Amino acid sequence: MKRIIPLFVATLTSFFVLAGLIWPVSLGGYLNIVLDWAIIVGAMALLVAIAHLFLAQWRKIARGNRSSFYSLVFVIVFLLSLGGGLVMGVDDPEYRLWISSIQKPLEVSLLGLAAVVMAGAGVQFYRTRGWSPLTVAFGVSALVFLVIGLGFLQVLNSPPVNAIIKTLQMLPLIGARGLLIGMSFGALIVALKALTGEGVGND
Amino acid sequence: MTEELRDCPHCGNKNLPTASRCVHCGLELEEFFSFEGQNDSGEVPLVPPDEEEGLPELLRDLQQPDLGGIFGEPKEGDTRPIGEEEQKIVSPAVPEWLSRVRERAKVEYPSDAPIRKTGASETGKTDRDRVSQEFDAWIARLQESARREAMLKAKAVRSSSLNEEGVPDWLQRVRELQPKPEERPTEEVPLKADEADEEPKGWDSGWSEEDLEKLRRGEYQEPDEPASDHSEIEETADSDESDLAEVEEPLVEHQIAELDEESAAGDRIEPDISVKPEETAEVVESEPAESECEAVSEKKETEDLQPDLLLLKSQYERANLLKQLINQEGKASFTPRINPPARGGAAQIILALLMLIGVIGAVLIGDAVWPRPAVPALAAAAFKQSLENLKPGDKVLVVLDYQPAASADIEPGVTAVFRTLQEKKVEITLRTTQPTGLWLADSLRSGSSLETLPEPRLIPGGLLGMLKWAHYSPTNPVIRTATSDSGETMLSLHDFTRVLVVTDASLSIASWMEQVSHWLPPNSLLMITPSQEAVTLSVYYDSGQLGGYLAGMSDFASFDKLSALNAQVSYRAYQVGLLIMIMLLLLGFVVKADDDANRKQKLEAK
Repeated sequence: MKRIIPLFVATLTSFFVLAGLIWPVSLGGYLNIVLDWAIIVGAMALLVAIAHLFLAQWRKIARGNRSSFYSLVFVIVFLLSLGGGLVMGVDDPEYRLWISSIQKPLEVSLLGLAAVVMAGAGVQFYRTRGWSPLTVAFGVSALVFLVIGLGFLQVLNSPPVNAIIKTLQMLPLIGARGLLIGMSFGALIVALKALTGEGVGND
Repeated sequence: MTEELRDCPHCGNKNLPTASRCVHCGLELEEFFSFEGQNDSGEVPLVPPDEEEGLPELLRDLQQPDLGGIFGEPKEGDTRPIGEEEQKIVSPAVPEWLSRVRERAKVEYPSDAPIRKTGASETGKTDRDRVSQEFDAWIARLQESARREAMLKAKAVRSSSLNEEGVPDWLQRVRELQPKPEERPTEEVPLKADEADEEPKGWDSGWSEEDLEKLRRGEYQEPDEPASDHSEIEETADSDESDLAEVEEPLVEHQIAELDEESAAGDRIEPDISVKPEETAEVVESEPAESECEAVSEKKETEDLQPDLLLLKSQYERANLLKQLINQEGKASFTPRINPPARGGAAQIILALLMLIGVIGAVLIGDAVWPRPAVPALAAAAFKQSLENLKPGDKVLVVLDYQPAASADIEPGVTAVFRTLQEKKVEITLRTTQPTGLWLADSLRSGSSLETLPEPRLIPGGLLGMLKWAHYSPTNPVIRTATSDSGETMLSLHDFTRVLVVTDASLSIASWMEQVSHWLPPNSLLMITPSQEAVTLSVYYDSGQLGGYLAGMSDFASFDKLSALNAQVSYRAYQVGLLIMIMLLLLGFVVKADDDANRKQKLEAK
């Protein structure tokens, strides 16, 4: 019963959304109401998730773990951001500048750190994985596309080289389309399962 | 030897002196059947002292215990050479026949090796050993039959309700193998009435009270036993359950032996005396075993070993682990710090230096013009053409749907596009599906001299909000009635000439294309993304669902005719980054090859 009720509601909602999209004139108004409900429920779920995150960090501080310092930083920053937004408002230019000045460098630094980690992994790649057709193919393809990305070959302006480069640049498209076709089939099957409730409750 | 006929006392006829019966009348002639010097009565000494000298030495040795005969202990001088015996014992009264035998033996065995006398004493020794072995075998058969009976009863008990009550198998086997007083085969004295009600003190494991007391004190030393016994028993235990009764008792002895060895080594394993009674009850997990738990708690006070609860080392470790798990329940656990493997310091230094040189080089060299591709991509060209077709006053919706981390990859292209739109004097509507888009739009406006851009607005609900907006149609009276409560003059997506989405995630691209795009006029949807999303976008562009896109710096460069891109992006820094990656990959190749060569040399050296 605990699984059946949410499944029943989800299936009913999905069928109603499909019906509203098919007959927009007669069901379109009610479809907007259902979408509003979904937005409200989603927002509430987000609030619950934020509260859960805050309480989890608070418990870590109460236990006095070694990592509680980071939890303390998180709680303080969270409270400051929440207080600033409540007092100044999210449309306030000063508040927006404050948040963007912190968040943007942080996220960009994380991306740069990921690049450094990937560079280190490039060195350790063959030591950990060894020689195999897959690893050699990966290394060679990475080298080829990095050299193409440098742009030195394009400076030559040679028609045969340009033709080769164009052919090589088509290879990722071919692989990506294969992946997308597989993902599309998977999404279709998952959607059908979600609509019909197949496979739910078996476990 | 001369044969003399004897007369029968009954019929008077003649008979041979060796005949036991009279051949004429059948009368038993045992009293007349006698060898020379033989005395048949066993009550009195076979040979009177006065007649000793007349007996053969062989018979005398057999009959006299003090000389190592059948009924006497062997003496050290029983195997003495015959030559010595002749000097000591042989007297002038030695019978004539014996003297002849000895003389003949000297003739037939002329070697110097003395002929040893192995007759009476060794034969008696063999017989005594045989009798002893038969006695031992008889005792062993008795014990074996008793054990089999115990095993049969154990099987019957095992199938009873005790198992259903959750008694562990090991405890039940120990109980079953513990014979009751009336089942003991060696119990000859019947138990008293009050003793019969008591529980048996222990199974018959072959341990005497003294040995057990020594074991408790840790002074017991196991007698040497052949190791093959245990191995044979363990093999049979696995193969045949019927032999389990024979196995259990030696196993217990083996456990005790292990405990004794470990105690001798200073690492003695004792029953966990620190186990609390309630914890012990959890381990046993059965109500019938509460008496054993109480016994453990009582023994805990005296810190004595209880033979019934001696455990194997593995059992002790499992019980200890369970106890630790129970004790740690509800407490904070700390993950043990794992020391990372040692790394090569030189490699780390080289790596750090490469990174540092790259960053410093990019800073010092400064900006460089991003090269324009000779032939623009078809999608980028379509994007540019789509904007070129705009007329002044057209409505263009720009949706910011990217994270701050991707701002450096996207904003150069967005800036160029906004400048183009401002040149076209179109009406721009700025929306965002994420809260971060609010302050990203602010930084975009302030950093790119686009102060004339409108204020961004948040679309609540993300994708659901966009779906609702896409479904919104002012021409539909039902929908207008349903959405009129907001009081906002809301335009439908159909009212916009172009919808420009700025995003950095494949999932967001797919959602836009699959949920929203089919509500829009054909080729009215355009996208700006980082270069890694070009593969995803190309699929939708080739299928005609997307009017065009700009993906990455190359497309931005082909679009940007005002060189706004060069003010924000350093192409040389990008090249330096790519060069560092190439060098690191090659370094990985070289290091791996060097490791393989070193390993091969070591193998060859070995």
